[in-house]
Amino acid sequence: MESGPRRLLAMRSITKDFPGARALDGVDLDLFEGEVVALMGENGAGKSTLMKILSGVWSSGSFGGDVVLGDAETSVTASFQDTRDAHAAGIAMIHQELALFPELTVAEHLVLDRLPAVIAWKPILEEAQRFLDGLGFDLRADALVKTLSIGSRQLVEIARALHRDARVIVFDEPTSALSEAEVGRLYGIIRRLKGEGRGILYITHRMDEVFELADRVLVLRDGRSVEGFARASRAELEPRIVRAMVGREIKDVYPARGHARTTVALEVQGLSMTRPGGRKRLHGVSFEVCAGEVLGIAGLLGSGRSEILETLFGYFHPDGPRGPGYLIEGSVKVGGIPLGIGRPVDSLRAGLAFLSEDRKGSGLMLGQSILSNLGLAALAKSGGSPASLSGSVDWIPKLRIKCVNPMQSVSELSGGNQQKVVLAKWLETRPSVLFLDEPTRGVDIGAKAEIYQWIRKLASEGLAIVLVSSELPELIGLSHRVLVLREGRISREIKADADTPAALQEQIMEAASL
Amino acid sequence: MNFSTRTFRSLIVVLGLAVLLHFMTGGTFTEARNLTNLTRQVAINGILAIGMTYVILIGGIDLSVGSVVALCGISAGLAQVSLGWGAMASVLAAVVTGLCVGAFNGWMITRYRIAPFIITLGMMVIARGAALIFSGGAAVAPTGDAFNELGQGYLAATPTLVLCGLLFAFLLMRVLRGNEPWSRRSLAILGGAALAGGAAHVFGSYNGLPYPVLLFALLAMGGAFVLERTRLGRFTLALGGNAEAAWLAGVPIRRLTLGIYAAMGMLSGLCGAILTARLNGALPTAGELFELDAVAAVVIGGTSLQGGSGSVSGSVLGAFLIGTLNNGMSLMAIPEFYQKVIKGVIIVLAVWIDTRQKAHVASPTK
Ligand SMILES: Nc1ncnc2c1ncn2[C@@H]1O[C@H](COP(=O)(O)OP(=O)(O)OP(=O)(O)O)[C@@H](O)[C@H]1O
Ligand SMILES: [Mg+2]
Repeated sequence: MESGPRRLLAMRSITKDFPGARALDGVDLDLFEGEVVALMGENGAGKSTLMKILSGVWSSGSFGGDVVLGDAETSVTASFQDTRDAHAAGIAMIHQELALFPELTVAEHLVLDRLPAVIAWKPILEEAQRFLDGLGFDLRADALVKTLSIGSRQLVEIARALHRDARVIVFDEPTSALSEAEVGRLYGIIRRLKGEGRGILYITHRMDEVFELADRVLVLRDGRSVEGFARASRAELEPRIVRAMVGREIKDVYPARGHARTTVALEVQGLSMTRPGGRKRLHGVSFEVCAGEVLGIAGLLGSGRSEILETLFGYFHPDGPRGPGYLIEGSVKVGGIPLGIGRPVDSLRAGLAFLSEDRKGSGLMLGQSILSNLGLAALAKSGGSPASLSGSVDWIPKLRIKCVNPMQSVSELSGGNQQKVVLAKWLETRPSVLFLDEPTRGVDIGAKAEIYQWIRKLASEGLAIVLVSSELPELIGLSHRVLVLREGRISREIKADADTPAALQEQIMEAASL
Repeated sequence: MNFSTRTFRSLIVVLGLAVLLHFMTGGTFTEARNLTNLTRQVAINGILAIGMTYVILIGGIDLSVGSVVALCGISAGLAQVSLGWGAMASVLAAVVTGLCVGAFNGWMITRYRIAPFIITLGMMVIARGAALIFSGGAAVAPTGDAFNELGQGYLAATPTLVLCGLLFAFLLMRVLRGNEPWSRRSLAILGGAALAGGAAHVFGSYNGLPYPVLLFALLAMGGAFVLERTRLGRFTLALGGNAEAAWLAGVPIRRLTLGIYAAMGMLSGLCGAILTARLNGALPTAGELFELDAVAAVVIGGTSLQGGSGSVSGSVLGAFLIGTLNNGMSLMAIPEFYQKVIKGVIIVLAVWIDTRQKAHVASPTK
């Protein structure tokens, strides 16, 4: 590089082995002041692992190669024992799987490692609130994290790193749970950080973000750095990046829609839901979905789009983890047969399945094997014996889940592969109506295209699908119709072939925010 | 999954300890009479540990166990002494009492969301008080001979031998059908043969198999089978692994929790009856600190206190480790005060070594 920006750090021939798998194999990376480097690659390519090495999660000595801080003259080889060492060196990472404390307030998260022995709450809360307002984050400093939506939790993580005033900030798929508006705000923040001369490493699977933000792109494949790209026009660069990532071209990300049938698979009339304490979250929502149809639900974070699915599936039943106190009204028919909203197991038996948005919180038993996770819902549905579980391993090759063997713990899988495990768990129940809440969160481009193919294939076989997604292109590309939700009410219904995708996107945004 | 490394390791530790004690006690430890007594002592803690494994697997705890054992013992005692019930009916009285208490714990936890630690702590005190009230603060004795058989009787030598043979055949079948490497399998078969042979020798050459040990063995096999091979067992692990995910996947988390605490109560009741039968009468002060021994056995056996991972076989071996220690130290006439300290140290040590090994496996290989 010319004499312009100073180098902040370099990683040299990084190698990292896990039992049964080499995650990284001689990766090099440089980061300069005021630069945004996008890290891309398929699920399991090693992106998160590389960044965990940089941020001290994997201590020095547990991997091969060097992390060098500073430019050529001032360079020192770092030997981080833990993340605190990395923080001290000005490196912070915002993890893909959020690491927050549900019972602590937002303010505490900001200052946790610096809390005084005796705490005076008022100044801490005030300082935190000022800081959050300064970032333009819509968060209350005294809110308990467990009361926040996932999107807001992600903002807490970001605020936390910024509060440490890190020189190098690693974002591991930060937007996977954010709404459009929040994403826009995040871009603004990142540009500001960049302007202040900080270095940003940004892992993402979304091309839009790469072209919005990145100065350079580094592509990893199977643990090696295969290619670096400087900024160029999207039309020219995108195919090259995709090829470097997956080793082939991907056409037709959104396969053609099949014809929806006329038999109604799911009919919802006047669905309302009131939380304990009287806050009404859904106000008389009615819709129907036909066999073979994909119905999209759009809305801002907190508009109630996930709650529709959760309510219908029985998540708020008094026996559930949230306990009694939810008031649910409305009538539901599955395949013409009335279904009293009961427990999830009743919904399962009626033919529903529900992939929830919070993979870590309500999707997976992280400490347990892929096999246990895969078979659980089918086991509950069928009432059969666990011996019949072995059939579910078929999903591993079908969805191309990258793992050592079916007994491997899910916590060791990369984020995208974890998502595939959850999807497989629900497909294994052979539902007639499938609820998908952010089904491609954290999934790479190749696998995303595969999941889209699956959605199409299942729909063409007569499955009715209700899809909630904050990625509008995905929603428009897959759905036959899109319902736009605002504050717990359906504000508009849009036919997906009524206009160009860009125009539809406009309409949805307008109907959602107003 | 069938015959895990950890189980194997714990088995080696227990056997190693036995050999050590054999020499340190000049052979008294391995006499058939002593080993028979040892297994009988282990049986109660072992049975409790089986239930406690499930409780801890779902992320719970039951501190009321010891008091419930006493209360149920009093139930059985009163049934015998004051009501003149038959042996079976008296045992049933104890088990039903335990069931009620356990179900009450489970109900408070699931219905009113009281933390298991709190409600069972309360129950620990309540049940102890109830035991004192119903017994009038004194021993309820003497219980009848037929009833006492439960704690003191033996299954005769011949059926015991047949049972040991069956057990070995069962183990052989499982190992042969498993898919471990042959080196491991032959070790397991050899170990199993030694164990079954040893048991046959010990029980065959003394009075036979004590009934409490028979019950313990049956319950241990049942508990392990349920955990590994049934839906209920998989649900238990799922609930402990992630309650939200389990709920959405259709696991009846409330009923399951209630059922597990109720079962823990029933097992406590059974142990109350056994203990009473062994002592010819019920004491309201019996069972003190039983809950801690059970928790210790479970934790030594490698079940995570966070829930979600663990095994019944581990807990059984944990119970044997504690029992062997107790027995060996008594034989060596180590003063009781010192025994306590040594036992505590060894429990902590065992768990520490285990977690270290687990961390080692989980950490990178580089
Ligand atoms: N703790 C671990 N133990 C064992 N294997 C691991 C562990 N963490 C990661 N791996 C393996 O290392 C490889 C790289 O994982 P990594 O999480 O870095 O992927 P990634 O590029 O971030 O993927 P994604 O886009 O899905 O998040 C994967 O094959 C994964 O299974
Ligand atoms: Mg990752």
